Amino acid sequence: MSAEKRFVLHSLLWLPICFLVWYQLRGLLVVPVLLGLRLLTPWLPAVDHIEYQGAHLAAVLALQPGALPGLEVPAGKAAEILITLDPLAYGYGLALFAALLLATPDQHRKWWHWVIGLVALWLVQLWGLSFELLKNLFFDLPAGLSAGPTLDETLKNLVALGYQFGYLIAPAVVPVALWMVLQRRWLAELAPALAQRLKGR
Amino acid sequence: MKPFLPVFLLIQLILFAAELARPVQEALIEPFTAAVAGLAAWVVRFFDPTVLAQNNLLVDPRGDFAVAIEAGCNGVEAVIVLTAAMLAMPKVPWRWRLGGILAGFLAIQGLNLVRIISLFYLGQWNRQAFEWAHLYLWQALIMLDVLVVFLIWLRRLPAPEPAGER
Repeated sequence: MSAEKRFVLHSLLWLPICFLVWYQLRGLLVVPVLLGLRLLTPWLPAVDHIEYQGAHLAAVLALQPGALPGLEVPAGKAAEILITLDPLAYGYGLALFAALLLATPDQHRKWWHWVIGLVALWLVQLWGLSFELLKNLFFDLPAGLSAGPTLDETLKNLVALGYQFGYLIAPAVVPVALWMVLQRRWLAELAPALAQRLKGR
Repeated sequence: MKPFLPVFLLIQLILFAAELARPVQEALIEPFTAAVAGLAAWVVRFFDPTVLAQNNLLVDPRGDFAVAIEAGCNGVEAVIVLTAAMLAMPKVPWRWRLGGILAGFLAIQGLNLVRIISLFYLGQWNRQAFEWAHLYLWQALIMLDVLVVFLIWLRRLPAPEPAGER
């Protein structure tokens, strides 16, 4: 069997196993993303804090008095809105990256590839969740509720682009692109024409 | 990888931003998505004659289930990624790029058709399994398809000419 076919077959065999492990560990894998999001909270308008809800996260918005017509908050109580976020929708690349790495021949795999992959894919999740939150704040909530500053059209478009990129492209592309960068020596063995092309442009 | 990666990312970003632009959505993406739904319905009707396509919806008129083919489900993003990778590869003759993009388009859309049809039936069977396959598993499989097409294309590329026809 050619190296290319063996790699594809191994990837397909590893993928369900990696998905299973990833899903079982989802509560643990989300912790660094939660910490990252908490670090960003001071810069997120109207967000009071981020709650950990198992595999999900929730952004808590404290409602200001008069934020909604007719809203009455009894003394000693607080009115809050929860925006629930699903980190898994941005994190499945971890399972894909692990399957690709495990399908790569042993001699090309290094322990630090896992570390780089984990950190990079946590950053992808952080990007996706931050932009989903911004999209919720600036597009989905009534202005009075978000209590944040209004954005001009250019910034709104950038938030929309960042959200779409973080949801549709980055979670799928980053694991593959990262794997290609880390395994470039093996790729050059697999496709000698690639090495010739990438040697000095 | 140094010359390849930044060019790949730049082309991808330009194509993706263009895809999201309203005029491109109206003129190209929405009709294409409706065509994907129509094609999926046409394939399904070979073994399930009652299924209908309504714009971007695949509808089972017997029950209360339909799938909407939205951005991210029409395979366009995966085609963008593959196109960006093939365009960013240095010193490749244009006929190889265009041939690769066309073959990749067919491979991605073929698998995407399988994804849509499988999700249509999975959703009627179990909503949780549908969500899982839709949000996580199929996304990874489509990207694996992109990688495999790219690897096959790389393996078949001719050695670059010294003067470098592009």
